[in-house]
Amino acid sequence: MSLLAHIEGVQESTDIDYNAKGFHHLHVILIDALPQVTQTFYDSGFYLEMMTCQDRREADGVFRLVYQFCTLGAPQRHLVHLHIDPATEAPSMAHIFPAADWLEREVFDMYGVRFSNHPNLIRILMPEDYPAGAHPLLKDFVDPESEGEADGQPV
Amino acid sequence: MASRFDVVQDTESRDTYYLNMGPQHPSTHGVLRLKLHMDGETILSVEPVIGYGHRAHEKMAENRDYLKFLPNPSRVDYISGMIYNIGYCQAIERAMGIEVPERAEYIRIIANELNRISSHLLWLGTFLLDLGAFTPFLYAFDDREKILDILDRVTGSRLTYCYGRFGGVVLDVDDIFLKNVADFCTYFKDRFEIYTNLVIDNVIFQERSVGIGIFEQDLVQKYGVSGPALRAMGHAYDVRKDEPYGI
Repeated sequence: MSLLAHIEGVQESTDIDYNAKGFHHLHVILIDALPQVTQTFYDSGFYLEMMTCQDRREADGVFRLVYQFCTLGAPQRHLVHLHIDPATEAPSMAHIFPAADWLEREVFDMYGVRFSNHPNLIRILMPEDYPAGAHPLLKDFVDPESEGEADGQPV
Repeated sequence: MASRFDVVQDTESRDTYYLNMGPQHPSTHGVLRLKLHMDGETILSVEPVIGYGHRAHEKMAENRDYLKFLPNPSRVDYISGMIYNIGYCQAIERAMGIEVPERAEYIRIIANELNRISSHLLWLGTFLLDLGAFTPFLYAFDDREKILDILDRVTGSRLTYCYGRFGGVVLDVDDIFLKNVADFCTYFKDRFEIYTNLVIDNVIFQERSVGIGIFEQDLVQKYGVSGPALRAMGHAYDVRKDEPYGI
């Protein structure tokens, strides 16, 4: 019985081979379900282990937000995938997990994804006077401070 | 014109002000900038600016194949570079289903644990240095140096190790390495008494550390506290036992 089965907007819940992937369950959800999903994990004793983003605009036209929830002790690890349109804001989860505050700032800094109701959505790693709209982990990023090639050729 | 690094008077109160600390400051052990909101010498709030240590490893990884990225992970935390280097190898091996020979697994664990001890010695020494105790720092660095020598002999590096390879380690160890490790273990056990007497039982150390920086239990879940901080909060969590890797 899946932990999230009762939540509307959870599109797909799959069991994953832990030995190969390092996590136990994968959930693909809609943006509206995120607050309830996060709250459910909080209420069930999970902590937010990691949150990041993937730039999938070229393949699917979306950003994929990745949330990883884990239990203390012998870990049960749930991965949550959420696909958002590049123009959409995602809801901030910092009011449930304060750990999300900096993680969301990093996603904003690196990918330009904005989070609604975030307590302090400013750059976290890049300098505060870095050009607006320059987000280094976008696949089509060009370093605004360099005229030559960025480090390393695509392989 | 005031620069962003100047001391700024608070507009709402005559008693408080904003003070910039860092990014270069002896107590930050690296580069860290803190925007402090101060009332006299009391810190009311602080906003850390952490980006000075950012070195774009993700972007480098994006533009390289897995093997070319191998020297990078040990630079993420150069104090415990071996653990990052081998952790990265294990992630690739897990994803690709590569098996590691038993001998290499043992070598990795020995190298990892030596590196872990040297990493702990560094925080112990510098933490006490920040508390004003210079002598334990010298003891800790003396012991740490012995570990660096052992690892230097087999890996060729003192800090930023690139010893692991996908499927094993780059060079085998010899009998001299085993003897060095065994000798160090015997030697280091005797040092515990010195550390206990000099540090843990030291009343000045206790006055300056006991009851300072208390974590409330709900922080565990809200922030995902891990490692020594988590164990200090009373959770008997050890990743080596609770989610074993290697052997």
